[in-house]
Amino acid sequence: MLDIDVSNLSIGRQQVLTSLNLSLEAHQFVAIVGENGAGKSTFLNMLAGELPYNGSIYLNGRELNSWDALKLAPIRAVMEQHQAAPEGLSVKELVAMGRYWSQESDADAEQRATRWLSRFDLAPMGERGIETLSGGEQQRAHLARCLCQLDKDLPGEQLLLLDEPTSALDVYHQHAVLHEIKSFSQKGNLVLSVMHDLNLASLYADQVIVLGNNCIQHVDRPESVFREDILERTYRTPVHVSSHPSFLKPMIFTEPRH
Amino acid sequence: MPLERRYWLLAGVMGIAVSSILLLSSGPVMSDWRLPFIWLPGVLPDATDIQKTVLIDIRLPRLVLGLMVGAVLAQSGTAMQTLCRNPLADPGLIGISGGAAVFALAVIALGPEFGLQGQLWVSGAAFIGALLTTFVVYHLAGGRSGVHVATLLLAGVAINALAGSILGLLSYYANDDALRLMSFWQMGSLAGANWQQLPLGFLFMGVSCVALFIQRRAINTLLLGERQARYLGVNVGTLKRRIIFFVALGVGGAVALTGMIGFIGLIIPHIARMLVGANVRWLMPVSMLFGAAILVLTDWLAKTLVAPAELPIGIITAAIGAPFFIYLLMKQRRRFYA
Repeated sequence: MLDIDVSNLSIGRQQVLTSLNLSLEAHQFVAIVGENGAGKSTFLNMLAGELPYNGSIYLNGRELNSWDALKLAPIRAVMEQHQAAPEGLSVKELVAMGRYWSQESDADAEQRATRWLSRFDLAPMGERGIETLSGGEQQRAHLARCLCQLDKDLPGEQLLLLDEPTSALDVYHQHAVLHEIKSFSQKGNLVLSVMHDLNLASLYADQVIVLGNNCIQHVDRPESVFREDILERTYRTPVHVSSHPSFLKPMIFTEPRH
Repeated sequence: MPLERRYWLLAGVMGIAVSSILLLSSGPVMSDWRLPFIWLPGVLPDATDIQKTVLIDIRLPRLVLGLMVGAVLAQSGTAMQTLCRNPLADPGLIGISGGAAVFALAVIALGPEFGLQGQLWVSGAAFIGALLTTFVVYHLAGGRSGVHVATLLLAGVAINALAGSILGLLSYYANDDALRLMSFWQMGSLAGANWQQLPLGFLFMGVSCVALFIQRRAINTLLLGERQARYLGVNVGTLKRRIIFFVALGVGGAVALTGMIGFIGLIIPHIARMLVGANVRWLMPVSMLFGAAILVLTDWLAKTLVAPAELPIGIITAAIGAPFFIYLLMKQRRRFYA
């Protein structure tokens, strides 16, 4: 569904990422991990079409840059790390903005938005101004907007790009939100998400991309990637990997500095 | 909320009705509230031809022009503020009106020497001046990567200063007729409205109004920033060019006919935002209705405050608008130094 063949990606004169060769199929939740400055957000920005690259990126068999914005909107949504919270816009209006491409009526768009608000535990806040919400609530509202954008009668072959979607969330909402994202991917779609919480990545991701030294170090299932040697090299810190008592997924423990 | 918003639309329409009746029925002579209803049977059965002429040839074009200019300025303010994601982006403050005035006056003062005369050339020049300044100011202030507020306003200050000096220079070369027009221009006035000049102004302002209005759904997505607007399906480059072009067309048309009427594009969208929120799909129509109503009301004040003389309308809008601008500036202070 997504075929990346990019020889290098630079911001100004700074070469950030090189030799990215990757093919990803739908039905997957892919976590992108790596230390600060490894190029995770840059990688996502590239797929969002914000950065010029040397090479090709094919989305559903078509070069990313040749997609028309209006045709791309129903099949690709992007949630940035920092989101706007314009004053005087209600949460429901924000989520309904995802329907821009559909040309459906305000009433239809808001009805759909209401459904997504309740799935993200925001139903009572629909009429409130987005700027009055807490950071975690805003994050959920923007995620609801992205999924509302990709809400189609026949889902599948859609791409959702997320930059740290759970960074402001409590434990309850981390799982609630990741459950929604995961079930979106299981409807035949592809989710690429930058994640800092390795244990959450281990519990939810189907595949993990490890970025380091300006390139992709590993692409594999969490069980194969979350090994002590790989993680210690990636994060330059002592790591102990154990297994989740009930789900058998790798659980990562780090050590305090002395 | 949506129900409430419909009430505000209705309030705007009623405001237009009330201010229109006020404007049509008052003047240095023949102040009579029944005058606007002269065609209704039984109202003023003994109306004279002079009364009808005053109403139809003097007051009506003035009303129509006021409604149009008010709607255009408020709408341009809404569009620019959403594009710049800042409530301080007013066509006057950021220099668009100044740029339009310089070009229009250059044609008035120097045009006859080159055979450029008449309203088409003046309006066209105002449009080109507006387009040029909008483009320059927008790019000076950061453009694509998000507009920097302080730079935007400073660019406006610089352009207005430049416009002032060029206007001074032009007044040096201008003859008496042009000089009178210039002072009229700098303070703004609707007093010269007549049916002959309206069609061209209407073409400029009407096209701008319609074009921006049908884009309001797309303009609305800019509230989330240009990147997000693109992800939502908007061709942002095209949309930005359209906004700049049609704002310049509308403001250019308004300036060519009425001179520089400041602060309407600042105050009206702000009030409308407090009433119906930031969603451009509602904000824009409500701004346009309120802009039209308030400009006509202000014009009525300009006509009646020092009757039988008349104040330039720009003086009144500036007297109300400047303190309002300072208030907005203080509210934004934190964002400036952040």
